[in-house]
Amino acid sequence: MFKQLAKFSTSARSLARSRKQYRISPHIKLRPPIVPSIDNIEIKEDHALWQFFEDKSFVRTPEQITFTGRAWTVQELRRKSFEDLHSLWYVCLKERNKLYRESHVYDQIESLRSQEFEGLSEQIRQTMIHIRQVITEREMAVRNAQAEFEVIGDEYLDEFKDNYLKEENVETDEWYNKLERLQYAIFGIPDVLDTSLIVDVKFLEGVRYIGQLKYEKFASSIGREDIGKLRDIAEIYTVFEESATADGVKEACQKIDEYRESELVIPGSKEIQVVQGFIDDKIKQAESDLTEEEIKE
Amino acid sequence: MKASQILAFKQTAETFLTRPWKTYRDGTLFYGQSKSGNKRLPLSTKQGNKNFYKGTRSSGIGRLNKFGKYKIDYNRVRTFVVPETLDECVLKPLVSSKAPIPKNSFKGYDLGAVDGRLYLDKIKEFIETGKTEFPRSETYVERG
Repeated sequence: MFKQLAKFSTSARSLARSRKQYRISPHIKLRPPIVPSIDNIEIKEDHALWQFFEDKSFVRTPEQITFTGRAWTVQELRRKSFEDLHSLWYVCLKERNKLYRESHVYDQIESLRSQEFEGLSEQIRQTMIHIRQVITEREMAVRNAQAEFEVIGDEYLDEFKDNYLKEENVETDEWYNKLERLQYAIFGIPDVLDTSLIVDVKFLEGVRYIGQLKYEKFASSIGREDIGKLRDIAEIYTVFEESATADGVKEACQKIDEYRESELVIPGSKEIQVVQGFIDDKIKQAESDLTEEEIKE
Repeated sequence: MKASQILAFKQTAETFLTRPWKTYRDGTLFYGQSKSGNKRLPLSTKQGNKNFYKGTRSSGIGRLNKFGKYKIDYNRVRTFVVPETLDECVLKPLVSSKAPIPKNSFKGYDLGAVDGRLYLDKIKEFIETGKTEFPRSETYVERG
C-alpha cells in the first residue's frame, strides 16, 4: 500500500528514517501551508479589542476629531445620578483609550498630528476629574449629614410621627410610600428584603420606630389597647412586618397574643440574632412557596 | 571646616530646601536640567540600593505555594466594575461649547456642596415627594 510521507516537516522526515518507521496515516491529506497574510485572518465582529477602534477604522484623521466642545462642568454633573456618572466615566475612559492608541500611531511616524489627539484626551480627562470631584463632594456631604442627623434627627422623626398620628386617613398609597421612603432613606431598610441583608443596630432602630408608629396609630381604632406597651423586639417586629393598615395591625396583635402565652422575653443582647432569624425564615418560606408553585405548574 | 558648611548653617530651613543645587566655578548660580542638576526627583523603579524595592503596584496578588507554583488570591486581584447599563448610556465625553453653564447657589448652607444640612433637607424632600425630575430654571441658577 502506498504510504504518504509528510513533505513539509523535517521532523516527519527524521521520524521516517527512524526504526519505528513512523508514517502519517494515509487518510490525512496534506495541504499547502496557509500564507500568513492579513486577508487570511478572520476577526470576530464582536471582538473585545474593537473597543479601541472608532468604527473599526485604523486611525482617524485630525479633521475627524475636531470637535468644538468643552468638558462637563461640576455644576452640570451635580444633577446626574450615580449610575449616569458611572457610565459617563467609562464612556470617557473608552474614548481616551482610542485617542491614546491613535496618537501613538502618529507618534511612531513622528507626525505632529498626535498632539491633537492628546489635546482632546486632556479635555476628556477634565471631565473625569470633575466626576471625581462630584463623587467626593457627595461622600463628604453624607458624612456631614450623618453627623448632623445625630443632632437634629430625633426632632425630625418626632415631627414625622406627629404628622402621621394627626393624619385622619393614612391608609393611602401616599402614606405607604412615605413610610417606605423613610425607612429606606434614614434606616437603610430596603423595600424588598433579600438574603444579602445584614441586620445591625440601625436596622433595629428602624424596626422599632416603624413598629411603634403603626401600633400607636391603630391600637385605639381597633380596640386593642389592652396589649399595652410592646414588650420586646419580637412583638415590635410582628407589627413592623404587617402592612400599615388597621387590618394589618389587628393581625399582628393576634400573633402577639399567641406569643405572650409562651411568656418569652427576648433580652437586648439577642435582638439582632432574633430579627436576623425572622428574616431568614421568611425568605426560606417565600423560596419554598415559589418552588411548590413551580412543581404544581 | 569648609566655608560651605558655615554658609549652610546660616540659611533658614525653607531657603535651604529651595536653594539651587549647583554653582559654576566662578560662583554664579546654575539653574535648569542637567545630569548633575536637581537631585530631589522621585526615584524610578531602577534606582535605590539592594534594600529598596519600589515596584509598580502591579504584583502581590498571590503567594508561592510549597510546590513553587504561584497561587492567585482573587480577593487581592483588582476588579473594575463596569455599569450594567453602559450600552444604554447616551452621554458623551464632552458637551457643546454653546451649552450654558449653570450656577449653583448655596444660600443658607455654610459649607456649600458638602453641607450636611443641605443633604438632610434633600432627604426630607425625597421622603415627602419621592424621586422627582431636577428642576430647570431660566436663569441657570440652581440649588446645589
